[in-house]
Amino acid sequence: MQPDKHDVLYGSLGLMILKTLEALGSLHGYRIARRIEQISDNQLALNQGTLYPALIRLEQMGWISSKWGESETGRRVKVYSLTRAGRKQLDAQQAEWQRATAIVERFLRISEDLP
Amino acid sequence: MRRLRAAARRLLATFRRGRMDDELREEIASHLAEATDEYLRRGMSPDDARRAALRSFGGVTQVEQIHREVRALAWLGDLRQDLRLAGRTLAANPAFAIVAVLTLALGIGATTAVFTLLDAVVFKPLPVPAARELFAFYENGPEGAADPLGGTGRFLRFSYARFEQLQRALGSRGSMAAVTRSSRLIVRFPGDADRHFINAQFVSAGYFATLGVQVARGRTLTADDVDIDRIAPVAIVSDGFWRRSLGASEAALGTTIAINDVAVTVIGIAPRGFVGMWTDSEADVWLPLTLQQPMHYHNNSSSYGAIDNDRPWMLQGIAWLNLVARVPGGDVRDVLPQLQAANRDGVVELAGTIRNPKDRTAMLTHTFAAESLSSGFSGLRARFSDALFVLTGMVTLVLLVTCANIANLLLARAAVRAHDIRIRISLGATTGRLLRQCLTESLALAALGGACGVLLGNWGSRFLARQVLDTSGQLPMVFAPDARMLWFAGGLSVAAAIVFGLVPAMRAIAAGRRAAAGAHLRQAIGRTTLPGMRWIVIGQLALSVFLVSAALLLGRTLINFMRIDPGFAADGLVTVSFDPITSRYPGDSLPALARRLVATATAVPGVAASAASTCGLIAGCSSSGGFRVEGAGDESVSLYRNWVSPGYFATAGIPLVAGREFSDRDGAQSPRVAIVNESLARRYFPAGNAIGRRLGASGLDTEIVGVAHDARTQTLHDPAVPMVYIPIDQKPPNAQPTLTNLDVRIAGAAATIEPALRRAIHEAEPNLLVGDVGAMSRRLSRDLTRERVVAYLAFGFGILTLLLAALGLYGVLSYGVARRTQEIGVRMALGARPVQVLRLVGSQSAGLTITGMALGLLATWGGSRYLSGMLFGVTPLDPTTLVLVTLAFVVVTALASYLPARRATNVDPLVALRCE
Repeated sequence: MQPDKHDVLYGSLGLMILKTLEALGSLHGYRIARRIEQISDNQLALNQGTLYPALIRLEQMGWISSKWGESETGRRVKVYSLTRAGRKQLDAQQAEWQRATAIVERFLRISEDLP
Repeated sequence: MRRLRAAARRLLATFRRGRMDDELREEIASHLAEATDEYLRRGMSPDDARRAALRSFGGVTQVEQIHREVRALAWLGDLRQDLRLAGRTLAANPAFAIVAVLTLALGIGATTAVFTLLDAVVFKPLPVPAARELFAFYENGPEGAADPLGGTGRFLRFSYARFEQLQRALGSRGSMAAVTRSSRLIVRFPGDADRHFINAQFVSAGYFATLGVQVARGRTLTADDVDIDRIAPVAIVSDGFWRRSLGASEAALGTTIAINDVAVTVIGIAPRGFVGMWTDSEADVWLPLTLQQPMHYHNNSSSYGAIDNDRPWMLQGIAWLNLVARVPGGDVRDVLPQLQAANRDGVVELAGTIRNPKDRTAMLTHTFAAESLSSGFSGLRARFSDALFVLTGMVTLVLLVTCANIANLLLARAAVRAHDIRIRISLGATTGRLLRQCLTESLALAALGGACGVLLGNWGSRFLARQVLDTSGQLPMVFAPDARMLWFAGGLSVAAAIVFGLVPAMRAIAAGRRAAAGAHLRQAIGRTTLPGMRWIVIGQLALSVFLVSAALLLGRTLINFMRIDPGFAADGLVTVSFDPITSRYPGDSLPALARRLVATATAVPGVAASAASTCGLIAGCSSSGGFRVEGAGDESVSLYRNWVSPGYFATAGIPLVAGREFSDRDGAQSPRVAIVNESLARRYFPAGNAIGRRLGASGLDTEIVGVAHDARTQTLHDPAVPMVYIPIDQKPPNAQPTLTNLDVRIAGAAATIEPALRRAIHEAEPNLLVGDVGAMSRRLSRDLTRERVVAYLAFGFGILTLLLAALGLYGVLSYGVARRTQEIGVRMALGARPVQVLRLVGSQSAGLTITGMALGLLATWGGSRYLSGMLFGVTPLDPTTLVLVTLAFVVVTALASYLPARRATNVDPLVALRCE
C-alpha cells in the first residue's frame, strides 16, 4: 500500500502508530512496526519502511516526539513517544472512527432488518 | 496553527537535507540490524536473515526518496538545487556569464531609467492619502491663449467669487480648496538685512484638509486665518525650507519672517516629502490667500478689462486661483452636475460685465469640467509626456534586442546543455523539472543583470531628469528613487529571463530528448538550434533598422528646429528679467525706470546697446489688449501688445521690413505711434502698405510707422503672433505695463559681462527684484530640450542595437561555419575554390540581412504613425533616411561577415575531414 503523503495521518497508518505509542509507551521504529504487524495478526503485510515517512510527518505535526536512545540490544536507535497533543489528537481521531463505523453499522443493520 | 508549525519545520528541513539524510540512514540501518537479529534468533542463516529483513522493509531507496519528499518543501529544495547548479554552470563559463550580465545590465538599466522618468513625470501619485479622490477643475473655451499647464483652450484659473460659489455647490459631498502656482517672493529673516527668494503659494483655509495633509509640527490653517476682514499674517513652511533656512529647530515655530515686506508668523511645518501639488515647481511656504493684496502678488492671473491692483482680488473679474477638490469615493461624476450649474451661473454673471460682444459670446460658450489630480499638476508632463512614451517604447525594443543576444548565446551553448540534458533524461528527469532548471539559470543571470541594472537605472534616470529640467542642482522630490523602480526592475528581469531563456531551454531539451532516444547528438542539436538562432538575428536586424531609422529622423527633426529663424539676432544677446510690480514701483514710474535701466546697462563695458520691453523673446508673452484697427470694422480685436523703449529693434536684431524705429522723439507728448509685425500687417492690411494706417485701444488714435520682421516671443515651436509695439513713454496714464525684460546686445564674452551687468543694475536700482541674467543662445537651446534629449537618446539606442545586431550576426555566422567545418572540408577536397566557399557564407549573411532589413523597413512603415507626432520637417518614410539606413546596414553587416567568411576559406580540408 503506497501511503498518500498528502494525507495528514497517512490514513490509518498514523492512527495505528499513535495508538501503539499510547498503549506501549516509547518505542523505536522497528518495535513499532513489529507491534503493528502483531496486533493485526500479521494480516497487514506492511512494508516496514513506509513507517518512517509517516513518523516524520507525525513528528512535524507535533503529535510525537523523538530522541536518540538505546535499544534492548544496545544499538543506537531513535525512540518515539506520544506527546500531549498527540494524545488529544488520538482521542479525537478515535471518536471520529467510532462514530463513522457506528453509522455504517446502522446501515448494515437496517438492510438486515428489512424483509 | 499546527499546520503553520509543521510548515515551518518543513522549511527548516529543506535546509538540513544532509543531516536528515544521515539520521534516516542511521535509523534504517539500525532497523535492518534489529530485524536481522530477530530472524537470526528464529534460526535463519545470516545471509537469509539479512535478505528477509530487507524484504520485510521494502525498497530502501524508495523509502528515502518518499521521506525526503514528505519532510521538506519540495519546490524549495528543487530551487536550491537548481540555483546551485546554475551557479556552477555560470562559474564554469565566466566569459559568457560576464558578457550576458553586462548586456542585461545595460538593457535593464536603460529601460529602468527611462521608465522611472516616465513614472515620475506622468504616473506617480501625490504623497497624500487616497490621491485618486483628488480632482482639478477647469473651463473649456473656444479661444484662449496657450495655458502652460493645460494646453490651448483650457482655463485652469478661477476667481475668488467663483471659488466660493463652487464651494457652496459642492457642499458636504466633498471639500474644495483654492491655490496659486508657486511664485518667487522676497523673504527677509530676522537679524539679516539680505534679501532672499522663497517659493510661495497662496491657499484657501481648506487646502491642507482637502489634500489630507497633516502638519508635522505646529497647527494648520483655519477659517479665521483666511478671513478677509482679519488678514492674519501667518504662514506654513515646508519641511525642506524649515531645514535649510530656519535651522530645523522647534524654536522656528512662532518666529516672524518678512515676506514681501509683510511680517508673517510661522505657525506650522508641513510633513517631510510634501511640496505642494505641482510636482515640478515645489513650494517653500503656504500663505493665506488674503495676504495677496498686502504682499502685492500680481502674477499668474487673467482678467477681462483692466485690473485694479490696489484692491484685493476677491472680485469675480480676476481669475488667479487653481481649484482642487477631494470627492470621497473617487467618483466626481456624482457632484459634477451641481458644480456645472453653479459655474454656469457665475459665467453668465461675468459675461454680463464684459463690454466686448465677441468676448461676451465666447465666454458664454465656456463649459466646466473636472480631471483627475492624483498625480498633481506638472508643466513637465504637458511638455514631455509624449516624448517619454515614445522613448519608453524605443528602449523596450533595445531590451528585446539585448535579450535576443543572450538567447543566441544560450543557443550556442546548446551542445553542452543537450549533453547534460540527455543524461538527466535517462536518469528520469521530467520535462517540467528540466525546464525549471534551465529557467532558473536564466533567472540567475537576469537577477544579476537586474541588480546592476537598478544601479545603472537610478543613475541614468537622475541624469536624464537633469537634462530635461536643465538643472545641475537638486532635483524635485518626485524624482527621488523609490520602491516602484525596484518593483519595475524586478519584474523586468523576470520577464527578460523568460524572453531570452524559454526558447533556448525548450530547444536544448528537445535536442537532449532526441539524443536520449538515440539520435546522434550533433544532428539533434543542429536541427533545433541553428534555425532558431537565424530567426533571432533576423529579429534583431529588423528592430535595429527601425531604431536607427527613428534616430535619423529625430536627429533631422532637431536640426530642422535649430534652423528655425527666431526672427531676431540671438548671438551676442543677453537678457535680464526683472519684476518692478512686486518691487512696488508705481505704474507711472515705469517709463523712467526703463530709461534708467537702459542707461545703466549701456554704461557697462562691453555693452553695445540695450532696450527694455514688456514681452521678452522666447519668453511666452502674455500681455494682450483690445484694439480697434482701421479697416477691420468697429469691433475691437485682441492683439499681443509689447511696450518697448527706443532702439529696441536694433538691440534685439529684429530687422524692420518697412518704416522706422522708435526714437527719443516719440515721447509722451508726441503723436501716438506704433510698429506692427509682419503677421499683423498681413492679416489686417493684406493689400500692402501698413505704414500710415491707424489703430488704437480706444479709438484710431495711433499711427503705424513701421513694420517689423516676425519675432518669436512665445517659444521657438510656436509661430509668431500678430503683435503691436508701442513706445513705453506713450503708455496711457494709470496703465501698468508688465515691464519685465531688458535686452542687452554685447560685444564681448557673456561670462564676464553678465556679472558686471547684474552688479550695475543692483547698484542703480537696489530695490528692484532681478531674476535671470543670461545669454539668449542658452534660452534657445533650453527651448529645444525635448527635441535634443529625444534625438540623443534615440541615437544612442540606434547605435547600441546596431552593434548588438552586428554581434549577433557575427555570432550566428561563426557558429554556422564551425558546425559546417566538415562539410566545407569535403567541398574543398572535391575541388571547390575559396570564392565558392565565400559565396556559401556570403549568401547566408545576405539572406539574413535582407530578410532583417525588409522586416525592419516594414516595421518603420507600420510604426511611423507613432513617430509622426515627434517629427518636424521630415516624414516617417523620408527616402533619404531610408537610403542612409540601408547603406549603413549593408556596410555593418559586411564587416560582421568578414571574419567568419575568412575563417571558412581558411579551413584546411585535411584537418576538417580528420576530426569527427
